[in-house]
Amino acid sequence: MNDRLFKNKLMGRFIGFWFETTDTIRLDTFRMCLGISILLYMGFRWQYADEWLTREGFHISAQNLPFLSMKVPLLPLLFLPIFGAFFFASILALIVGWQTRWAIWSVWGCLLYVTCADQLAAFSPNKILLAVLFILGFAPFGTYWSVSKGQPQRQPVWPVRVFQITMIVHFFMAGWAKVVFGEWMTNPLVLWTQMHGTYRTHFAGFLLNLLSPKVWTFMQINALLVELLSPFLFISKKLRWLGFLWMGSLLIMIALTMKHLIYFMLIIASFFVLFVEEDALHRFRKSINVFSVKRAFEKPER
Amino acid sequence: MPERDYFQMETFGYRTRLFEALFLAKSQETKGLAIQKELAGWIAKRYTRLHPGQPKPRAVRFVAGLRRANLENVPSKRWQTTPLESFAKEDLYIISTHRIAP
Repeated sequence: MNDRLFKNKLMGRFIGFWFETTDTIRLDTFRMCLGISILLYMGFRWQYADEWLTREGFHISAQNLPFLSMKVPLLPLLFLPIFGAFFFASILALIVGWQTRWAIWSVWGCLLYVTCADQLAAFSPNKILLAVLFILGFAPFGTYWSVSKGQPQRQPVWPVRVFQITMIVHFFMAGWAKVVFGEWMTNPLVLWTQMHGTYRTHFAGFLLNLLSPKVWTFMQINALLVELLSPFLFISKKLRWLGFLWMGSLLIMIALTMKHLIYFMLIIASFFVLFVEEDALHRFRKSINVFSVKRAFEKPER
Repeated sequence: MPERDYFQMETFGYRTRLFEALFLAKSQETKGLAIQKELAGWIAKRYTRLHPGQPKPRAVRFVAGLRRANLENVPSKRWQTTPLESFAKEDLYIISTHRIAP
């Protein structure tokens, strides 16, 4: 009997973990932050759109495609601005929550196209964004941070849980891969050596001269530790502040020392929102409303 | 040849599109070589387009240079591509050479 009670309780907690209803503020804020990250990332990449999406650049033939075997036609040069206008309008709609469902799928479609059009230029952010937007496309959402008005402001929690787990797995596996495949455990100068590479920024060059190799070894251990400890740091509500601080400082360091990785870091940092308490997100939203966008982001009745 | 004439997109992470084209599918050697051959053909065509008065290239060779990080010579600024001539001979290696049909 006790055993059955225990099982029922466990099942109840499992169902509650995935399907309890929650305020939409976290997912809505995540959608907006992710949209801003995509806008900045794609804005940077768009400088090279002719190389990337038209016959101006090198493209691998259909029979030699390395990852996805889906070959899509390239864009005529004249059509590039039209595609760009649609893509960026969709991203803006995603940010402001206008026709949100359509906006998500439009951005997803455009992103899938550019990923398939040039697999040479499709790095991890494309793949992460495709998966995240796909899930977001099915998720219920509210109208916080949105020009749309509507009810209700509650939703099942499963999309938030999926994204929370995604972030933790991403961080942990990054550390695990370093332990299993890399030299991070045997070579104390791995991070120092990596800083010399092609992504080295001016700031990284400055730090290489300023800090001794021992400090770089310390930072190497620090980075490995925070990644391996990320499940504890983010699952435990008591340790979460430490997770934000520790992992946040690592992301800032990467963004400052590695060229263009700031876009990737912004995408990853968007996931932090999903771990912030709902009240804090409401307070933040109200503080923003003090400025100019009060009418557009007016809070509907809860 | 200056890389910017052929691949404008800047480094993202540690990879440029040229780097990807040369080193992706490394685990599948046949496909990797086939991609490099396509790349050589494309570079030869683009070279001819950019240099109309010059003779057409008869072959394209991909060469990589090895740079070692050392404590005596720590860089102080951002990454800049080292000209091929600055490398010692033992630090250069040929990735592949491809003949271009006339």
